[in-house]
This record gives sequence, C-alpha cells and structure tokens, in this order.
Amino acid sequence: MDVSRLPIEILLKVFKYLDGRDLVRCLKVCNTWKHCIDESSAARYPIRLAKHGYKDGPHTQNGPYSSTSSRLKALEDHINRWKSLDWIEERIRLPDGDGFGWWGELVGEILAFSNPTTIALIELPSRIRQTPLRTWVHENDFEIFSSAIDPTQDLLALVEANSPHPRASDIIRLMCMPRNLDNDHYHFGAMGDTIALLDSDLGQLVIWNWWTGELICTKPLQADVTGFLLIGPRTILLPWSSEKEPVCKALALYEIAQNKYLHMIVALELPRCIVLTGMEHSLQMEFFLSHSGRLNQMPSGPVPFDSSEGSRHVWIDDSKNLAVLDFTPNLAAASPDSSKSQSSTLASRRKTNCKDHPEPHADNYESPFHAKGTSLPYHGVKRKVGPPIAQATTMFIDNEHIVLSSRDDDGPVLIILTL
Amino acid sequence: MIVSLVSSDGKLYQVDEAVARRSGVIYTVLEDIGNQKPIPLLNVPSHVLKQVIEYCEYHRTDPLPQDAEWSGPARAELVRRKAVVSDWDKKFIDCDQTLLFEIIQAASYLDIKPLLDLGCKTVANMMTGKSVEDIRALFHIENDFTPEEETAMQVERSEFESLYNIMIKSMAGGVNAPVTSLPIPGKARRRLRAPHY
Repeated sequence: MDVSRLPIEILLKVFKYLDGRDLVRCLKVCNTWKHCIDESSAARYPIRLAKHGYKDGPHTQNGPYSSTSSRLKALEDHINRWKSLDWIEERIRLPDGDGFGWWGELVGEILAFSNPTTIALIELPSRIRQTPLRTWVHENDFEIFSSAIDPTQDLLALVEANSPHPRASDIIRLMCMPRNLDNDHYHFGAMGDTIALLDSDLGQLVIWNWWTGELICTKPLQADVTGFLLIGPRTILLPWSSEKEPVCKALALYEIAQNKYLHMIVALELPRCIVLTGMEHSLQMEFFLSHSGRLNQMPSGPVPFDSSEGSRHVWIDDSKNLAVLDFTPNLAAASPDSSKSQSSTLASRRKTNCKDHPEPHADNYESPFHAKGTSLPYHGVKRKVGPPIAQATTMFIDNEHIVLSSRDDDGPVLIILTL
Repeated sequence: MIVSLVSSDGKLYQVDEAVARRSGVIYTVLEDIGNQKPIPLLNVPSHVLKQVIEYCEYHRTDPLPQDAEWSGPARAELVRRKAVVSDWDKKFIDCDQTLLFEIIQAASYLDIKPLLDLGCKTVANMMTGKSVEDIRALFHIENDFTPEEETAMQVERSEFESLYNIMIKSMAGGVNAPVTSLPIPGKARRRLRAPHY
C-alpha cells in the first residue's frame, strides 16, 4: 500500500498541516495530488498567500471571512485589483501650511500626516475590511519638527522644533544640516540606530550610528545611483550592476559587518514581470520603503489576510515607471526545490562579478520579492489621477493603498487610491 | 466491562470498554447495540488492530476530542502544531510506511481522531521541506505528468515565486526592527521626481 492510494479526504487532512511552500511542491508530485489541491480552497489559499507574501489573518466564527473560500476570494480580488490598477480615488484637502511641506508616516492603514502646526490622523478606507475613510485633525500649540510612529507601542512621537532628539548625538545634528538645503540630491534613511545619507552629487553613501554619532562607513557609488533602502538597521539595499552589465536587473543586499564595513550579501534579481524601462540604460531610480506591521490596536473590520512578518513594501521609481514590490525575507523557510537552473545562473554570475563575496546559500532560500502587480506606468497613473501626480512630493504605499501628497489649484491635497 | 472486537482476518481481541470507546464508531455501536456480541471490524486486519488497540490503551484516560469543524484553528497554528508530538506517540508511529498508512486508514474508519491526527501529522512531517523528487521517491509515487504539463507548471512557477533570485542570507535581527523617521527639514526630505512624459 502506498500513499497515492490513501483516500482523498485523508490526503487533505495531511495537507492541512503543510504551509504554502510545501503545498506548492505537493502540487507538482502527481496528478492525483494536483487535483486534490486544486479542488480544495483550504489547500489553495495558503499557496496563494505564500505566493503573494501574505499571511493568514485571525480566524473568526462569523463575519464575511469566516470560511476559507471567502478568504481565498478576497485575496484573489485583491491581487487582481493590483494587476489592473482598479482603484478608488478619494481626496483630502489639506490646510495650507505657510509654505512648509507636509510629512508623515503610514502604519497599519493609519496615516499620520503633519506639518509644523497641524497633525492629521487618517484611517485609510479599506475595501477588504469594508471600512470608510476617517480623519482626525489636531492643531498643535507647539511647532512640530518631525513625527514618527512606533507600531509596537501604538505610539506617535512628535519632535518639537529646536529640541534635539534625546538619542541623537551632536554629530547627527550637524549632519542634519547639509551644506545646501535647496539641493534635492540627498536621500536619508534611518532604522534602529543606523542612519544613512546618500549624496548623489558626491556619489557616496555615508552611514552613521546616530545614537553614538560614530561614522560607520562611507561607500563610493556610481554617480547615477539615486536611491537606497534601509531594510533593517544593519541591512541596505542598493541597485546592483557591474561594468560588464550596466543594466540594473538586480538589487544588491549589503550588510554592515563588524560595525565597520559594507559587505555585499547577495544580489537579488528583480521579478521579470517588473519592467522598468529606465533601468535598461541607467540606475536612475529611487527607492521608497513602507512600514511593516500593524498597530497593536487592529483597525476595525475583519482582516482576512495581512502582510507577512517583516514584509516591507518597496517601490522603485525610475521616473517613467513605478514598481511596487513586497519584500519579504523568507528566513526560516528552506526550500531545496527552488529552481536549480535559476540559482546556478545567478550563482555563476555572482562568481564572475563579485569574487570577493562568499557563496550565498543559493538553494536554501526563496525569493524575498513578491511583485504587487505589473509595473505601474506613470502615464497610467496620470490618466487615472490627473495632473497632480506630476507634483506629488510624498508617496505612501501599503497593501491596499497608494497615497500621494500633492498640490492642485486650490492648495495641498492628499490623494488616496484604494486598491 | 470487556468488549470483543474481531479483525477482518477473524482474530478476536478483548479490550476494556474505556479503551474501545476511544473509537467513535465503536462508541456508537456500544450505545446503540451494547456489547453482547463481538463487534466485527471488516476493514481492519489484525496486525493493524493490534497497533490501534495499543494506542488506545495508552491514551485511555485522555479527554475525548471535541468535534472541530473543518475551518478549525488557523493553518499557521496547525503547521506549528505538527511538530508537537509526544515521545510515546513518536515512538509508536515510527513504523514502516505501509503500516503507517494502514493505521491512518484504520483510525479514519474507526473514527479515532487523535490517532488520525497523529498519522497525518507524521506524513506531513515526512513531506516538509522535501523537494518534489524526494517526495515522489519517499512515497513511491510515479510522475504521471506529461512533459507539456510539466512545462506549464514551470511557467506558472516562474511567474510567481522562486524565479527571482533565490539567494538571501539570514538577516537576523535586522528585519523586524521598527522604522523610525528622522527629522529632516523641508526640502531635503525625500521627494518624488516629476515624471518625464
């Protein structure tokens, strides 16, 4: 007696104990197993979740997402909305802030948006949770310099103007005053105790520990690198190319080793469905990164699925296109079945180009990228949003939203696109 | 009280009622008919029944499981739970594959939920992290896909998952730290460049 003669219902019980990655492999074992999984939404749902970098939400007895099939349906609809850019547009008029810009942060579908005198808290609408847009506006009696959200503590921290952050050392205050504030060619990133500054004019990336003020390292970069991304306090993502192959088809993941050196861990090939036209001839692109996680206090409404642990949205902008990716480090999951040919090509490419770096664990990990959809061409955005996209100064992205801060004829406006 | 069970090959087993009642099917029979006559178990051969009785003897005092509906606990919980198997159960279920599948079938037929779960967990654990080839070899399954079907699956995979680069080293500690935004005044804040039309 062998396993293929096990009745289907028992096979399904076995599959219940497998996660999406293992189920994908079971799909390819034989026809019986494939049919068995294809017919069962309970087995298909975790596969779809894993493929798109999501995790299952909390289970409830009642409500619209109490059954697996309804969750699967919601997930499929959500993925299709990203593919077809089928969004709903809403606009919030912002009070004009004496020429000061607005800045903010988007965490767990709550956008905290502020200028020096006002802070607006916006709960973004959700098609999955079926909740409407809600806003609270608060006028401050002190001048805000910056704000930050810590989702682990449900905390919104405001930095009052002219008082330094308690953890910041003097050198950082110096650093925060770059030579010329009119110069746009700076990119900042901060995570944990690390802060990084990319100066496109000088073509270098400078990394500090902003708690101690210690300079960690300076890395010269090609002049056309205009973006970087702090994935973790010790991990940085940069566009990757070589002299042989100047086209950027990959991102390189660097790690700060021994608090001193920037050390390339791996080159991550971009998904093929991401077609960024500009990247064919240059590295002109910008990265943005969104928060991961949610506030402890979950928003109202049922949550059928959510971002994976540690997942971050990465959006890459090459002035013509915008690509949105989910970056989910699949750390624990060993995947011996990962496409051998793929990894060996990349491994060999790595060998030729990056001799100094240790061999990666090529066969052990799956891709950390989950494409949110095809790339979003700006002209497409323009067609749907109208001219303000051209003046968008800030953008926030999460699972369900693209939020643009812009200015139209009547003043500053926040454009919320709900997918 | 003693209950008599007869295996499919005609062997008679006498067990305590408490042990026999671990099986949902026998429980129903005892409720409906009583235990005057030996209960024939037409689908369970003696070498399997022996094992099943051993399991039920050991677990005779465990609380009977509640009826859990199919959706049950979240899958993540099940996936996590599959690694949790007691030492005795592990030793008990550590048998050759044929017997394992026979025990699973018997547990399903006799409606002994914890034993069925144990069997399914064990099979799932055998599959976890294995490649397609390994799974086929493990369970002696023949690849009955046509080359065309294989190619089609390859394409599907390439669209979604492991196509992208597959190399990433542990980023331990780095990825879950909260992001903090920095005080960056006015124009120096990150900014989206205007598109070129």
